[in-house]
Amino acid sequence: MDAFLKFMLNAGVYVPLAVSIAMACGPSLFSPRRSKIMALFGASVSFLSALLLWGAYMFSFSGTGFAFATSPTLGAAEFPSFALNAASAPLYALAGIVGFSSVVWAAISEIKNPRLYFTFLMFMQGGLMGAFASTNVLWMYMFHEFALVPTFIAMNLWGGAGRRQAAMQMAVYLTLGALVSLIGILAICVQFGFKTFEVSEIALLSVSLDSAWQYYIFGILLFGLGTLVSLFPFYTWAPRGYAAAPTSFAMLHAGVLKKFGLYVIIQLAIPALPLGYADWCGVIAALALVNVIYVGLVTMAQRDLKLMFSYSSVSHMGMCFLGIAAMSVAGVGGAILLMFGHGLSIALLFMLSNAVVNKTGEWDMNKMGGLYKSAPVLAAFFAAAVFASVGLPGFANFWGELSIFVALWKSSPAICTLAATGLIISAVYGLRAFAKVFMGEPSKELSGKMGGISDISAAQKFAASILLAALLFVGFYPGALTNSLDAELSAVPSLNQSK
Amino acid sequence: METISTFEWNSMCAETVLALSALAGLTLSALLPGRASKFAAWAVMAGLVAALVSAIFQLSSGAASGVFFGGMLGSSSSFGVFASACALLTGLMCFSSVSKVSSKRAEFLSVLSICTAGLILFVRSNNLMFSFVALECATVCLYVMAAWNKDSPACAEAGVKYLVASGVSGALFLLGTAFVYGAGLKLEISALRFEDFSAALGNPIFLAGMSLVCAGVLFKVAAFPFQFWSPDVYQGAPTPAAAFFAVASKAAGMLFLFKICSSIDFSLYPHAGSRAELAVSVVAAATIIMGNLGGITQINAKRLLAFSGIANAGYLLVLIAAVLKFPSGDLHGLAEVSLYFYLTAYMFANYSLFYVVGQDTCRDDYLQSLSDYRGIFRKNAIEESALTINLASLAGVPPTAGFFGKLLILIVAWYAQLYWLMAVMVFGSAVSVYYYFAWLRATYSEAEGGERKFAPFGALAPTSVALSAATMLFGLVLFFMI
Repeated sequence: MDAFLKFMLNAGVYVPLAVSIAMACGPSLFSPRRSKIMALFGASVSFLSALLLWGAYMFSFSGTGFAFATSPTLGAAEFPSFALNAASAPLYALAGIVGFSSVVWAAISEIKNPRLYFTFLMFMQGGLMGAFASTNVLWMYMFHEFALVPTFIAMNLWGGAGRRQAAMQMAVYLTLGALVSLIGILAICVQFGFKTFEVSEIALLSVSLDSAWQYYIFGILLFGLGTLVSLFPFYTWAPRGYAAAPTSFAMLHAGVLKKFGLYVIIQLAIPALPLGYADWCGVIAALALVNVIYVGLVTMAQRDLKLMFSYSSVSHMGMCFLGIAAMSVAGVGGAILLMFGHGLSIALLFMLSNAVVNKTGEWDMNKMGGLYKSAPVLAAFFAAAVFASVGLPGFANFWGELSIFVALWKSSPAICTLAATGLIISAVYGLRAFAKVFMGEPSKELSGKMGGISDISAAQKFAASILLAALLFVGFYPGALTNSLDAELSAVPSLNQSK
Repeated sequence: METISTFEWNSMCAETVLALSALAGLTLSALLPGRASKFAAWAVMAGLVAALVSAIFQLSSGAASGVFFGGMLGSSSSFGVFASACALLTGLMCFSSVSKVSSKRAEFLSVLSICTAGLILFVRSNNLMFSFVALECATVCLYVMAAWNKDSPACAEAGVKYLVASGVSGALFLLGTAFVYGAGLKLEISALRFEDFSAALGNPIFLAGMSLVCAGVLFKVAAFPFQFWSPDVYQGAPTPAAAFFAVASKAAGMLFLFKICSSIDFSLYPHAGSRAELAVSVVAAATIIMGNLGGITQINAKRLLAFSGIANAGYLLVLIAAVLKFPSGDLHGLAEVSLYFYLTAYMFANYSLFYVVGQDTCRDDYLQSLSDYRGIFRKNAIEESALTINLASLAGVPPTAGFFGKLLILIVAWYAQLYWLMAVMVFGSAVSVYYYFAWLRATYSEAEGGERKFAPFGALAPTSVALSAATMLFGLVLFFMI
């Protein structure tokens, strides 16, 4: 069984990459139909691998450290070493679930040149699975960067309004963020004498680094990775980028890729640089509050449906950073829960807004209304996604936000109070968006078209249900994540303090 | 005393093969009648292959280790293989169906061979006078290659500009050599030899001379403040020649600088060492900034590659600054490996891109702009993937070779504590994404391109695919298999 799981861990990464390379090398072999089937195959292998490994981790693995460690070799070639721990297993699952759902969504949408679209999507998917499965920091970084070129090209070819500028802005910002974090990662490796690139071993060496070095290196990592997660002040690439990206890429980027920066902070920076972490906590909290409150207010002012959800994802990332700033097991664990929940809910929201925009032909929420009558199922899914993103009980996000607030209250009631306004803000824009799009009477622009608008198809319902099911599952059974997270994070010295 | 019979010809077999094949090419093309004269070009190509094989043989057998020519010629280095490979790739480019040097191809290839031999000897030299002669031998060939198409005004312009720029650089080099020689007379040592440099460091005339020599070489690698000639020359020169300028000549200059800087022992004169390190660091930073900021505004593909070349020269100078700061020990070895790795990655990416650039069907390719590449992804999969993979490599995106090259330079820079240079490098790389991706954006644009069309590769397709595959796999294989 263990051997099979290790095989699946490798398959989840390499099958999408292999599908992508095959489609890139044989343009004439892949008709639109065949490319869709191949992409669905690749994504379902990732999906199965994600569910199997997450399930196996949840139910069989107790204790801390990495499970299913596998580092295959072929002759002299060393493939990257993969393994999952409590922090990476949920995110690996998230990548598989969101990836599969985005491929299903793309397969039933009208797309020009589907072979190229799925080539890039599969390359990105393989990279994402690899980024969360790798235990080698260099490979983590490299797998993350697999998404850069495909997203850029996809935005230019299939993107929406303003795509040229948005794509370039995103590429430059993300490269800058990635290079700065690469310097941080290299700094850790060089300061520890290049003995190892393995995450778990680097954490053990942390005692040997004095506090000044830890301070500088953590600062470099925070700003590099912060840019990747759209932490204030380097967040401007994200809203326009997501609004202009084609739906599947926006889902994967906002839902999964963006979590990578937070993941590296939790997996690498916090265990390896405990003193630096403690020094920077105040700055993290301050910047994150700006994300939550200021960007939240900006979100409220948006009229464009997709742009609004893009801003909301920036604002929610601030909440995750607040969890990290709380410096406790509950805070960091809550951040991971929220990353998982937010990844699913934002992907669902992007998917459903794409459906809304396709049906109405409008971007502006003020020009919509009354869609509930002609598309009740779409409205129900949309409502659920908004509730999840607002953080209502029953969805994964609730547990994340709850534990972040509990942890914040313990460390600083003032910050907790300020952050709580973010909850109100997100409830305002989320519910108002739902009301404007679905409730009331159709606007005068829409009333003519209303007869032609139908509900979402069965396949579209299927794609949305995958995401919703995962949200509800963790919403009703948070132990799926928290049982192992508690044990894992309690073993990190800097988090396991009395407070 | 070495004579012609005691001289170890093994030690110079690659250079000899190159010279002989050039002679054979020129003779055959003059003697063979009419249609048969095309065999002359094939004869030179055979010579280039033989040179590559013998360079590999020299390196692996150690036949050319030690010093020759009374100490003027050092051991052969990997550069012999590198330069022969560049010459071979340039030669292949001349056989493209739309090549701009298809007339008088054999003569072009002969000049190329002599130039390659000159560059190899330049990097091997152990004596400034010998370096100068080898460098001029290569440079004269480069003038000729830059101005190859007599009827193209842009080509003539490129030739004249290179002639003037190189003339100045040669003059600086020679003046520097004279200063160094003079300083040696005063100190009663033969200061022209590299191994005696360390002893002369206290002499101000010697330092002035070395600065002039280095300035001459900085011209060749197109580093700030001597970078201005390169966009015009790359744009106007025939594309195969431009590729050779961009890769082989730049690499030779870099390796020469590296050799000089790493052979000097600054331990007796630490002040001179720190001055040199500061100067190189400043030049590196300025080169990175100039190259990348200049690249932003480019809409011409060949000029863009020139600015990219300037920026890359800046990244490589970071390695030299690191070696000047910590001259001995492990760092030196790591820096040398990084230098060769980066140059090889740069060679794969640049040749790949120049191959695509050279497929422009118009008679002159100097006016092609990025918008001419629009929609190429719908027409030609090999050119599309070559552009995607190699632009990603130049921009330093994993898992391409360019990423590993930048990674190695950053590691060396961190060891050498050149933190501010790392910051400049990171800033420059992020800026460079803008212009590399602008080219990529044109490639994947739904809009139709301009008048210019790009011919399919034809017989060159396997070479292009091999170069792209090398860009993709070179770093992965070296890092994770060996």
